[in-house]
Amino acid sequence: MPVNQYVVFEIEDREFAVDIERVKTIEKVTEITRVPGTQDFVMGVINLRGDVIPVIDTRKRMDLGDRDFDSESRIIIMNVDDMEAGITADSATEVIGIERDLIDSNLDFSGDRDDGFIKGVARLQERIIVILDLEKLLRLA
Amino acid sequence: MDANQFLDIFLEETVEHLESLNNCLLQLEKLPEDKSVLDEIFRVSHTLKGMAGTMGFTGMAQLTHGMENLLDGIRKQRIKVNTVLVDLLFECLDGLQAYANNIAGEGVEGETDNHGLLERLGRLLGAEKSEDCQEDGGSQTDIEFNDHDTMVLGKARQQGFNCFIIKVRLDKNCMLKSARAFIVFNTLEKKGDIIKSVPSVEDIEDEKFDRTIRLVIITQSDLDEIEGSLASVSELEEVEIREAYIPDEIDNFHLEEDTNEDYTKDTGTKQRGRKSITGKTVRVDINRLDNLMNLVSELIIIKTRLEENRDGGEEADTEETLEYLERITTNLHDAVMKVRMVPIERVFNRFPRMVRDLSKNLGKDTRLLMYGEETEVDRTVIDEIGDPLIHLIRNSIDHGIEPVEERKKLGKPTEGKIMLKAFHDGNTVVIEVEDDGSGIDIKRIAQKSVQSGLYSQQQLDALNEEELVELIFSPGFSTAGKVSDLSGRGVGLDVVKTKIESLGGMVEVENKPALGSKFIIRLPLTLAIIQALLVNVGLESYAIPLNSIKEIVTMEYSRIKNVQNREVVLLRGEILPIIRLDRELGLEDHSVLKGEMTIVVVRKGEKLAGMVVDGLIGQQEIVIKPLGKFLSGIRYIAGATILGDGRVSLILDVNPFL
Repeated sequence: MPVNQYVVFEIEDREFAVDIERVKTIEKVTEITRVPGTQDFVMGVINLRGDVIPVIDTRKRMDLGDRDFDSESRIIIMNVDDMEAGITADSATEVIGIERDLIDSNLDFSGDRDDGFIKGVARLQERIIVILDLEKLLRLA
Repeated sequence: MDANQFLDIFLEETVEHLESLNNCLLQLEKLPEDKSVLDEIFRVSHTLKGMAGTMGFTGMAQLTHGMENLLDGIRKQRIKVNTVLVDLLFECLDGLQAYANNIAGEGVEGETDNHGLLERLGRLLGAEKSEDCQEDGGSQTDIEFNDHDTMVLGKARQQGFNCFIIKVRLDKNCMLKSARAFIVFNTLEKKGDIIKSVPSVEDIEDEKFDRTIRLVIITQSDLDEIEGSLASVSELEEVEIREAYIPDEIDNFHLEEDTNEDYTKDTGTKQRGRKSITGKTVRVDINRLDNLMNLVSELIIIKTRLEENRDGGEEADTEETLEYLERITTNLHDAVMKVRMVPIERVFNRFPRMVRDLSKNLGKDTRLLMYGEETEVDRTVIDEIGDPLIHLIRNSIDHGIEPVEERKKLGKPTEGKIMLKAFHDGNTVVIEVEDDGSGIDIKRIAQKSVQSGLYSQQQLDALNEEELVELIFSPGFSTAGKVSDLSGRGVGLDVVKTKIESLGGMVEVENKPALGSKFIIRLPLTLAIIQALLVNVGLESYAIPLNSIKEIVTMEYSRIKNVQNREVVLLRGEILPIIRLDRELGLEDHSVLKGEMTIVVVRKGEKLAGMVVDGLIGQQEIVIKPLGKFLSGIRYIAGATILGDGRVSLILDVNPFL
């Protein structure tokens, strides 16, 4: 059974995952410079070793309520469609392999507020891990 | 092997060859007797033919072949060089250019029909065809079967397959031998399995072979079919196919040994000749350059950091280190910039031909003089500057230079002169386009702009001479009495001006009525590192490019007045619109409406505006970093930079404010 590797992170005690192939690095939160004239879920830009990288506020993007950064907070730098962007997380917990069979991508999420960004849901024993659709998450429109 | 990987190389080289062909043809026109020029043209067309053939661009190959025949005719003194001939060669060049453009755009050469051209080439030559001389390259290694091969072949034979040994010799003009070999392999693999090749596939990929390839193929097709399929591959000088005898047959495919000793010598000189052209340009992967730029920017950041340290505690050591570091960064910066620099020749090269064609079309006699082609400009500038220059030169020929008769009447030399000059001036590059034509007729400009409704007579009366000349840069302006296909359509100099300004440069005109006009373009040497003023707005800091700042003034808040719902102040008797940066940038309006405020006066052309900032941090050299695709097109923000403390600061684009 094919197993894909995912980076798992937490927001509001819920577990989310993104395909590890898309993850460039995981960074601690550094100073974020606000960029005027952008949508409110664009937090701003950070300096990632000489490159200027935009950061998306995942909580705002998915309507999950506000929370200040703490020492566990992370910015996960992604590579999507040839552009780099970071998404915020309360914490980045682990990398796990998930069998493709365990991912249900035909769920009806209607009613759920963050349904648009879900690619599928993996059930691992007690855990439910939401696999995010990065293309949608990072789409500005 | 993938033929596509050669396409880029092919295109790059083609562009170079076409450029040099263009230059040579211009020279040939001037010096029809010069044999070295002719040889060069011949050589270039020959190379092009080989390259095109190899890549399977038959149209291009045919056209160059036709040119080659004609050139050979000239070389053998059967025909003389005259205008008709040069014109025809230029047309061929255009044809080749069209092919190349198609290939660059779509990867195929397109359906352009050049039979007319080919026919005319043939006619000029008197339908006489030069004989393709045959040369022979030899081969040293023979195919040998090892036990494994024998076993495989034996089995195949038992199962009713045919086994052939195929010998292919590539044409001696074949430039991309491995690409051609790849096509041969491809063709054969459609018919069966190639079980062995001499030389090995690896060697062929690395072009480590002469011209002969031998292959062993197991196939269900018969000999004729194989032969037929190979017949469609061009640039093969010779194909021999025979049945492979197994198991213990000793291969008797002995090839004629190298019969032409000059062959190697010949290619030797060819290679040297090639270098003379390719040596002029250096191809560097732009990504690598950008990376290098990144490193340099890091260094600059460290420098800035050190400078900040110094402001904290003072030690003589720091001072020294700083100076040293500064020197290193400066040098490194220069070195890197040099790699990015390209002689402006790259742009200038296409102008002689353009001037020639244009003057012919317009019945004018014009000579283009170019100076400072070696002046180096940043690549980013090179790519952008071509079109504006074309525009200015066209303008000079079309509007500036008078027709021959008129020039005679005026006592000017019948031949008009256009001078194209490039030189460095401090931190800028200056490009001048000067002509000795009629100059700009100020009265006509005034008349035209009133006629076309751009300005009223009263507005014009208030302008001085210089300002009147500047009118030619207004959008929609044209003085050409009649619209030619070149200029006079009213989309022109304003575009030039906008373009140059978007590059951070400026255009001026110097006008001498009846004696000519001169357009002067000033451009920054590079677009990657700029001087900027860092300012505080609220708790944030922004960088404002220094070249768009006119001055900085402080005044009382109370001096802000409301005029037609806009905030303005009077600065030395002039009205200056005020921009509250905090509001515009979506920050809270925190300004205390009393005490002093700092205003950064920015400009765009003649327009001014005052930006209210909360504090000045200082002037700094900053490295422009793009915000990336994700955040592109944000109003007010031109990019970002990284400050000494590692924070990102945004660069303000002042243009939308004005």
